[in-house]
Amino acid sequence: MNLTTQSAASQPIKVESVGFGWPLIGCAGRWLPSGASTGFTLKCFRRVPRVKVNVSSTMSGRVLVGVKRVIDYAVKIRVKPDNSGVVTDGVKHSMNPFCEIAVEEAVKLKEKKFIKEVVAVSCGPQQSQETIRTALAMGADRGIHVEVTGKEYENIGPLQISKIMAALAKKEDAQLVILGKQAIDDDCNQTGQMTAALLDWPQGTFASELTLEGDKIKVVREIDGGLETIKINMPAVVTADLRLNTPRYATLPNIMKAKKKKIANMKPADLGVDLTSRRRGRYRGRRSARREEGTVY
Amino acid sequence: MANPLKGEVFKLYKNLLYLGREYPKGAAYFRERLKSAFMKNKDVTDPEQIQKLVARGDFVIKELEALYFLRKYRAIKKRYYDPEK
Repeated sequence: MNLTTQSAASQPIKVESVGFGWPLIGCAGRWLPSGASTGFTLKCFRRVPRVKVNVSSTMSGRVLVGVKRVIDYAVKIRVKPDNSGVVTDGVKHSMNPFCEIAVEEAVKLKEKKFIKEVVAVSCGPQQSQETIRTALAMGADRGIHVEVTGKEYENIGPLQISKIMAALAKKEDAQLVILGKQAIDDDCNQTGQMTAALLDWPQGTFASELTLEGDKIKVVREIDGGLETIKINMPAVVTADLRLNTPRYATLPNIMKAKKKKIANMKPADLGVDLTSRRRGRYRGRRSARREEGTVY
Repeated sequence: MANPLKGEVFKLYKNLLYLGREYPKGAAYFRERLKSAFMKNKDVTDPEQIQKLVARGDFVIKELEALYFLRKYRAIKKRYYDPEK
């Protein structure tokens, strides 16, 4: 069965040295010929930096992660004949890739025991629950679905979402809010910043590295022409850039397990959030615009 | 047919079928190949041999996951990070 045309096997082999001086080959060890006897166990081996597990007692240890349901990245976008938007009916949707990175980072923090709980939040129609399920399959503990439908959903923008996120962060007593830096459908890149502003929390945007140090977070940010390292106090808002991590695949068994996890359903009104949009005019698509070019309009 | 490994083989097939839904050449293409690969070994009864084949299937799963991840990563990188190329 020759299904594997491309693979990750071309990645450079990481050689790490451990305490007793053996150079060990990192990751799966599948570059070794099968049956090769090495004298010591070669397993999935990745060194986790030894850090003091330190969930501060005053902190809730809860992380809120925003996930957005967008048209799948591989789908060819079609603009509606009247230029009023893009065709979304019967089109494959999936989780925004940057949100996947955000979920992965939260789950990683939980695996390193820096935090206790990962809560995935999505705003949108009924189908948004599928996106939350994907986040749960990736390792989030529970979900919150804020139901926004019909006309309201059409007019919803980053400001409305950030109001919801801010209200939820307060309600859930979150220690950290991790969001994707932008969505691949509207490319707004505003939700994280606005959420931080509404909460009056520090923000670490475009994170390409995240380290928790007690009550502080060290964020390495991707900025034009380089990297910037900042240290911010918790609670904070962090938005994930592409190089933050490599999201895991939500496998079938994990999706099945995720069906048992709870998703709370609420309305924006329950959070005291008003969704009125002050935006004037409508989104106008251009039929000639091609998403491949990364067109921003 | 009371092979104790039957469940494991079933699980593998289901997992691969699920993964194949996103295969670049289409789910139908993948399913055809997958089925023929499984049918080719339908007469294998030796547990050790079956275990080896299941391990091979698990390897294919890993490769597919890597393939999907790289495909997505490259697409996003191309769209947002190096516009000149």
